[in-house]
Amino acid sequence: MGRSIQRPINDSKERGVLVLKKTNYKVELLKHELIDIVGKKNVVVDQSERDCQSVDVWWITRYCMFKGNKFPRPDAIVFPEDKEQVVKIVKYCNEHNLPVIPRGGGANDSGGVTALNGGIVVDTKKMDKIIEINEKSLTVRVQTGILQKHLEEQLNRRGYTMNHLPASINTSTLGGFISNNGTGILSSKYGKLIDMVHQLEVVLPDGQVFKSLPVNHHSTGPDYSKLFIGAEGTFGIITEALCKIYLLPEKRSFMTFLLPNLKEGLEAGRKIMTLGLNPSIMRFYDKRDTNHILKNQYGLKDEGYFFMAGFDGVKKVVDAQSEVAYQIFKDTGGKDLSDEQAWEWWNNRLKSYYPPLDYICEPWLTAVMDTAASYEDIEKIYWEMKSAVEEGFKEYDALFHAHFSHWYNWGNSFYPTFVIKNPPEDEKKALEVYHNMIDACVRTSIENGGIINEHHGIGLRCGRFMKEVYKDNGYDIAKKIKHILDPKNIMNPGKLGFDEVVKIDL
Amino acid sequence: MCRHACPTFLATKMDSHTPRGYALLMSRIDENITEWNDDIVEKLYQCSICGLCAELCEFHWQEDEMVRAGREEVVKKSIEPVRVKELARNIKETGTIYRKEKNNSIPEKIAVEKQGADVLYFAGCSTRAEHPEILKAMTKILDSANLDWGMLEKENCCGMSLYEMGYTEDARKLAEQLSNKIEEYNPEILVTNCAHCYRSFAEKYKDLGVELPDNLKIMHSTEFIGKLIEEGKFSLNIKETDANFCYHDPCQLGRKMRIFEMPRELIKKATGKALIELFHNKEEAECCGAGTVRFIIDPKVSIQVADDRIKRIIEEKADVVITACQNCKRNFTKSEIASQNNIKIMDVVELIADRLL
Repeated sequence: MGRSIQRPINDSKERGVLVLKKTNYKVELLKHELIDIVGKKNVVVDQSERDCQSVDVWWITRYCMFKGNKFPRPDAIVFPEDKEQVVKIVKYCNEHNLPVIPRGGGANDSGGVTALNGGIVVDTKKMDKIIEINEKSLTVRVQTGILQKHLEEQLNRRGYTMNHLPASINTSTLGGFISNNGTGILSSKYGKLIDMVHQLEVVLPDGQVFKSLPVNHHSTGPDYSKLFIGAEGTFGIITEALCKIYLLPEKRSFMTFLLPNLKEGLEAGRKIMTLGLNPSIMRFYDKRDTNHILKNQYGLKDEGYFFMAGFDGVKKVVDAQSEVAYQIFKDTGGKDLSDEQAWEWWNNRLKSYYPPLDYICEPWLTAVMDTAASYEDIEKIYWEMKSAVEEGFKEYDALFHAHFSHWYNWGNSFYPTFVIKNPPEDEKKALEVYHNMIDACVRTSIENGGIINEHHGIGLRCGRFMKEVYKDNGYDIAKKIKHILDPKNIMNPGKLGFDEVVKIDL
Repeated sequence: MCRHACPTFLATKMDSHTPRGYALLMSRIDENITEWNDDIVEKLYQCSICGLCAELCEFHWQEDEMVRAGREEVVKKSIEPVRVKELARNIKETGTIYRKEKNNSIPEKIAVEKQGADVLYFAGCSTRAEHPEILKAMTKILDSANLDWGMLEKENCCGMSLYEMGYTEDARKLAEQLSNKIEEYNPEILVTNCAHCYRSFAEKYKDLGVELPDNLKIMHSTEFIGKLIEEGKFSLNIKETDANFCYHDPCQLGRKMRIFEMPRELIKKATGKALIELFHNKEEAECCGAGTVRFIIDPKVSIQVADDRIKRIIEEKADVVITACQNCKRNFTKSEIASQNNIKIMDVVELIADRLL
């Protein structure tokens, strides 16, 4: 990629300044076409922005970047300011067979917004207006490029919340969360994004605009909005959403227990959920995760399996729910730690995800492999996955730890992390170990009644499993839909397993 | 993370304008994966070094210092943007961030190079060049309090501008020169209305290894005025008004030096009204975009940041913005959104001077 630099003639390499490069004609042409649509300030082709946008939170992109390897970069980044500009960009790209990569915060950890074949990143962050807050119907209509933090702040100021509070709240956009069908810490009560969205507006790959019905509970044929939730930008660009909001709770309460083993914890949690007690937070940590997170980061002094449950809402209801849940925990014989640890966690909950506490700052090989399954299957998946990692990768002293953090009345999800502190020096070998680890975890989950991923999405990381998992469950249907909506395959190509098997190699 | 608060990012929405972006780009240079180039250097000089990132960081990583250190390296390699180089040369030659025609001397009737006065009032180059109204207001207050005070006829730049741009050594030289002048003057109290100069004297000079006399009391104008009122040196006449006042915390005074309450108290004393407290305030106050010299190096984005802050001020239904830094006043005054909405911008000093009995 060339760039056009105007420098005084007497600047020279000998002064340790910069080397002039020739302008790339094709890039300039593309740039000017895009400028025509969104304006000069909204088209960016500079190297630094392209570099920043080629790295997300995925271990592979970071590894490649810091090993100095070439990694796919977009050709240009555009910042549309409204839906009409998005339509024009998409039509232009469709006409010229240019890949389009919709992007919000770019904090995906699966390579979901990687410009695998170059193309145009449509960065939605300038489309960030709150259009309307309806206090009667408890909805908010908003452009999806808004950072979730900003949306939540504005809602809070008016006494409301969306109750979507993931770790990436400061970084990521509503559109990104919808595209990934993300989950926050309050999902046990308020659900995933699919439960939070009433209506979507989407620009389809041919430039048509689709708007779903104004409510998501109906009997008016299939709910087509669901096609785009979790589609990770492969079916279109979500430009606007109508979402549920809630009143800020009158009371929030916690209880924490240290349990003797995994089985007791899972059973206690299952009882709480199946009784319909409706907790907002349910977080159950295995022994190693209890040490890693609660002990090291939040000052817990005891050993064991830590369980934190929280309730929010009307005070009388919260008190009643808490009383029943408390007795369930008490009956396990676990140790009551009161709520101090939980409040410590609640008030500092983002700390775990940032350096120096997060693994991201270490030169380790690591990933999270969240999955979900029924109560019937989830414990087995945990032990099998743990064994697959620790036994299967013993030569690398692989570690496995997990917490169960999104609970439903049919099952739950657990969030395992695997870590290899001394990955192979050889880069190709390191990548091979990484891919093998992902294979081991995902296949263990699938073979025992689980799924590929619960809320981090598929992206590039897990695309290769999609055909295998869905061969009898809709992969062909999904491919047909993709082909109908996007016959030229311009929309976020290479993702969600629609293309050939993609494994990043050097 | 801090992306949600970075003023430059919020103006441009570019990842390379976030602390994470700067860290990523500089890490790759550090690891010899890539080299400095025009692009990265330019991006580095578009940070306003407001420190909001460090404040909001879960672990208070000093991303703003990281950017400044990056600039230092850029200067050492002599690859800074031409306009930065020219600005630095101007500051070193003239002792001010402004071109010669803007380097106003103190107006004649104020010019008092009086050795040995108790109070040395240091206006700073921005006040002298662009805000004579603040200078006059401050001198009115000093006269009103019947103080033994004076000013340096030639005030060279405190050095903060050079320091922020990465010219650490040159900043130290300028600081030494000024420190010698102040020592020679021998005041008991050094007071300035410039938040940047205040931070230089009270904090940064130590970091640069530049000594000011041990017994010298360094005060920002707001602290000093609060002290004068407490000592009964003058009284204020509260004028009735329908205006709604808010206070914008300057980054250098608020977040960096933790002076939050005194300006607020002064405004309440002067107006007799409760302040509208802005949603992001005190240590989390949004930047005005001016920086120390950012408004000269990067005027376009600088004003965009000011516009964003003004929009939020308008949402809060304030129609008068009081601040305690002339650079903040400057940027807000230049905001078209402020002028279109008849938002009045004042320094605390002007407010107090206007209410003197």
